[in-house]
Amino acid sequence: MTVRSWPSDFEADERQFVGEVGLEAGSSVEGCLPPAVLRAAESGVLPDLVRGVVAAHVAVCSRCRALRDDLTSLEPEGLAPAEEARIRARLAVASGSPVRARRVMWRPALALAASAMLAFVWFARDGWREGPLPPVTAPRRAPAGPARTSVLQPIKPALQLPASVLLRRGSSSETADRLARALAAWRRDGYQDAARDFEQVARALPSEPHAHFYLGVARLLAGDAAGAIVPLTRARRLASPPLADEATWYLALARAHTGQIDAAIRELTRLCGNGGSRSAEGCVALQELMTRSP
Amino acid sequence: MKGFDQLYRRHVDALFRFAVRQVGRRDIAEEITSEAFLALHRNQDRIDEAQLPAWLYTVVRNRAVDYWRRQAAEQRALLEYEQGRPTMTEPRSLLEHSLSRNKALKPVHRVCLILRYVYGMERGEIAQETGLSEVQVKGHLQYGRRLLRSQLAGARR
Repeated sequence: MTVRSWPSDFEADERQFVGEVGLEAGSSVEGCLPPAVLRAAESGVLPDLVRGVVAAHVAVCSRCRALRDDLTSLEPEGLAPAEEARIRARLAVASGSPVRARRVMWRPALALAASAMLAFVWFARDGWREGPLPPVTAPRRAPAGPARTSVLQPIKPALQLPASVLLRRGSSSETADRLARALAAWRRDGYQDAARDFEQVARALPSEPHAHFYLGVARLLAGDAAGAIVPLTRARRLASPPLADEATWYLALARAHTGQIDAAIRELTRLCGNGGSRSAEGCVALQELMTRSP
Repeated sequence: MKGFDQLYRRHVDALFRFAVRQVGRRDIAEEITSEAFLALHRNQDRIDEAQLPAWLYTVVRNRAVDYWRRQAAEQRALLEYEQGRPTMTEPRSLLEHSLSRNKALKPVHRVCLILRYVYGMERGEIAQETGLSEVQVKGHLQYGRRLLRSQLAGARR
């Protein structure tokens, strides 16, 4: 085992604890084996060479022997929703046909969430058609009342433009005017006008991810899903999380609304698995997309 | 044979857990589980339903053997080094002495504590190695630290 330093997610209480028990970073695991190897040794799947090394080592190393015994007594947790969504996504892409989600019945809270999800998808299926999704119409703010019919229908995101946008190189009073007009149009849901002005802002500030992001979303909300793809792709390339996750989300919607279902599944699979701000929504959208009638 | 969907729903969770035990990592177990069901999908016309789920488990096991064979090839130099090294025979740290003596700690607590404070793993890595969630790992670590602290405090008195 290679020697390690303390993990990057160490908390203050843990630093205190390692001091109390006299542990130092990078000093303790010389000569020991990786935990995954210890665990797999009991399953009989290791090559002969590795099995021999493990057997010889645990015969004399009390730490690895104890860790092996403890690891093999653990029962792994079952599939998490995100993990299952990724498995089904792989199967759908490789086999060319969607796979229905399994029913989760083993915990009441998760059973409730699964039932809500199935009802959600079932409700959405009534209006479902083959091929590309219905055109984007009547974009609306996030509703305060009952849930929207499909998670794949885009919702206008909150406007979160950092003040630094206008401090970027290339910015001018004309760009500031354009941006002000774009924001005014956005606020009154005038997405075609907003897209026209955001496009000028994005040309003036080509390295500003927010400009490309709001251009892409404005086009999507205005019904031009195809025109949204390039700016959203650029926004994702330029941005870091959470904006990069937002760009991926709307990019997935744009792909879905232009009939690029495989590409949409790839984007949603990426979101579903990354544990970011859109992860849960990505998993729900992935399931919805894959339970569509062929 | 029953529909593929039905077979998938019936067996995927248990097969995944089996895969985690074979390779020790959830992300690799995901890939192997996917490959097993893909193989079933491609061969379902040729497979007798009476062969399931044993057929699926055999595919997972074979994939696990392939995985470890690739790992061994990549780590051959490390393994040769390890074979020649002297190994520790007794726990070195106060932590490990305490772990072996504290009967209130279960295997899952000991594993989390060792992987965190001796191997220096991040919570996400521990979750991957053990099959637990990160929230569970965090909870087990907090519980373990509390127990060990009270044990150490009792020993000092």
